[in-house]
Amino acid sequence: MILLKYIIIFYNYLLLTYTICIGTIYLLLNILSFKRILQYKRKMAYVDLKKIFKFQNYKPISVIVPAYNEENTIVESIKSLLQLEYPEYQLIVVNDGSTDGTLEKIFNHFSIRQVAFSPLYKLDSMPVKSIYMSPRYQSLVVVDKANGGKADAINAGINISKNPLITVIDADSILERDCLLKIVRPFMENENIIAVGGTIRVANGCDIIQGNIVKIGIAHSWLARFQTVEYLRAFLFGRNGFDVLNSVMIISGAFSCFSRDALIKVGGYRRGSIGEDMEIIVRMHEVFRIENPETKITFIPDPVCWTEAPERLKILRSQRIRWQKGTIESLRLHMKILFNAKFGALGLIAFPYYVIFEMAGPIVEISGYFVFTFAYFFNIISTPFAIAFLSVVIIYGMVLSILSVVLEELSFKKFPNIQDLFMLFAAAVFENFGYRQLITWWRFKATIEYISGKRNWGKMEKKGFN
Amino acid sequence: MLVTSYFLICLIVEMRILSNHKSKQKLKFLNKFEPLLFSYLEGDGLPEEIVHKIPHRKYRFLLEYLGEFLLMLKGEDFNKLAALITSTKLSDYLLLKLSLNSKKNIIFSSFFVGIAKIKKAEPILQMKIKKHNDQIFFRCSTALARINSYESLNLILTEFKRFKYYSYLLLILTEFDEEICNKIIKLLKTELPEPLTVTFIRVLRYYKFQTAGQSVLTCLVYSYSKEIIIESLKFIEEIKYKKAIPAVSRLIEHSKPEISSQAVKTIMKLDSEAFEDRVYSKLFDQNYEVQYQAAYGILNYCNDGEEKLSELAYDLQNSNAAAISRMLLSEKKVKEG
Repeated sequence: MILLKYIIIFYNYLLLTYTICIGTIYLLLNILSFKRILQYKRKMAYVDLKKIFKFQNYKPISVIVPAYNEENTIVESIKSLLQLEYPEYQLIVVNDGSTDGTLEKIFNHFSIRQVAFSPLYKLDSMPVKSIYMSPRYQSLVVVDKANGGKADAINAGINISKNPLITVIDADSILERDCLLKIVRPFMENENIIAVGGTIRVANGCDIIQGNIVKIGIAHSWLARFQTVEYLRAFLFGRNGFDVLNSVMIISGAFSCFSRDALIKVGGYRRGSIGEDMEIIVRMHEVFRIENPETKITFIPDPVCWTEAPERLKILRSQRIRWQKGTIESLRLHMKILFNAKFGALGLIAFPYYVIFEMAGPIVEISGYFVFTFAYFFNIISTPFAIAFLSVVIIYGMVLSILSVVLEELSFKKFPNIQDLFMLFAAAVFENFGYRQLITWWRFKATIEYISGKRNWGKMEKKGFN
Repeated sequence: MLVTSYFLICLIVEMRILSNHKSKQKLKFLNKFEPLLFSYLEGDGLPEEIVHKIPHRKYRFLLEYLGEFLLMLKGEDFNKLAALITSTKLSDYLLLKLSLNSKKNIIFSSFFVGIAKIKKAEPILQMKIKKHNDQIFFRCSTALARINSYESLNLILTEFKRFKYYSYLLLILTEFDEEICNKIIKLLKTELPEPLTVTFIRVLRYYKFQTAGQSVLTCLVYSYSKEIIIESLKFIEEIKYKKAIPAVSRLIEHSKPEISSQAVKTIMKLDSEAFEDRVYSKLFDQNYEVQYQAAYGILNYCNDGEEKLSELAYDLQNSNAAAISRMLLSEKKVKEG
């Protein structure tokens, strides 16, 4: 009994240390990000992107949009994507064996006709049935193929991409008109860059007309507001912080840009992968960083892409379970990076961070809640310790969320109404009471499911923008 | 930590309230001022009369409003708006702000003295660019360029050495008028770092400066730098400088695919007939970019290009060249409707 008591006490101290560690890492990332964002803002303040692209060596882009059952939004999405500001790009929409009227809608609106393309590359993908182009919209190419999942669809798109840069975009993402100009800029400045990610924001509550954001606002539901703060935290300081260390391990599948040659070299996206966006980045690090340690995968802090956050618990649950399984899968497949000094900060800091705090985090936290409650009710830990413990957990969480809102206000100031700002601060506080625990619980379930062999994608429904 | 967060929130909210208040004041001012400005543009009143009606503390609002128009407008409307600054008390106001030590004031006023071409600001701007601050350097150099202060060019180039971003220099140099190209031609004769040469050639390309053909050709011939060679090829292509044909043709076989593909592209624009066969052979190169540029050149610049690519499109032995040909032919067919 005494041994059990000591084990529980030790475990509680371990949890406290764990919480302090993760909070401190976040704080450090916050400081790094703050500096980087300010530098970035200063740098971009003088730059007239359109003018630079007029006479610098811009590279043409192929924009790949995998689409599966998107009949409600596909026409507006394509129209909006055809209006992006960039000197030269082709838009490749890959219909991934949709069972609804996605392809028919494209046929009717864009008068596409079949062309005799054959693949330029040989990345693995399900068979392509036909390729179409539109005489009216000459940069539009539509690929119709058998269903094989997102990664498979992207590979099919890459196979017919004619341009040296490839941007992958979710069909339901809303992009800022100048997003391509911004995301390509790092490629122009540094030859060693092989991939660039963009910042994603939550579009719920924004006014959207014909696929363009016309007014930024905050979501009406608290669930989406919590996610707004989460996205700020993840993108503004999580990824920016790791970028300073050249250790970005994930760039969002909703908007990312790659060097085509790099994608071809790593064999494209891994078919059937659950977290294909993270997996490909980690694989790129693994392949390229050994050959050339200067290789860089970077991230632009500008909010360039807007996405719909789930407003129903069922959908949110399914999304988070998929994300967690994707993270575990990506880490498991590339364990050789862990504590490998050849990869620099990636191997020694970022990868271990992901393994300890992102992969194992939910198990530690959920077990922690049980052990803590047990220990408190059986008087194994004292009340002052319990208060100190809970304070650390909640205060750290709150402070970090508040800091992300502060950072947003000091940098991009995207929310024009002061009421929205108050709402964001409120969400940053309230998310610590229930929401975060719920997310942790889902991540915990996902981890258990993954360990027990249930590794499917799960079903993800989207409501679509009004 | 909680206390710090609380203070941060208060600070942010206060900043936002102040900024909203300022926006409201500005809007109120503009509602009053806009009719005055438009009647002035239509020919009513003198610049001094307009500015005289505006209280000194509102000068900043006025300038912020004028700034957007000054960037967009040209011709008579631009001159009339610029006169509101150059021939009124506003120019003294700006010079005073510019000479202060505050970064914010320098950045603000340098924009207006530059765009309105206030010559009197030159010595102050020259002094300011020596400050070790990238923002001040960029803004003041841009202002000097807009004033066309060629006396300051050397100073700008010297001070620029402290900063890494050549895109900025490109933006500064293209703010000078076309005369900058003659200065650049002289500078190209001296020994320069690679990124500076590249930037200079880009400026020449921006102005499509025909006279620079020989100087850029010299860079092309004597340089080993990939960037300089590619940039020179682009310039030659832009101005269609035929004298460069022998030098460009030698680069078709260059071992670096970036150079080879650009050389193929350039040569097809300069003399497609003479190089048709050589470019055709590049359809079977190992590199996709080279193959693509060769196919594109043959299709668009050779008389029988379409037939040649059609033959190739169904030749399965050369699958990559065939795939590119099929793609380009399909694109062409679709474009032609």
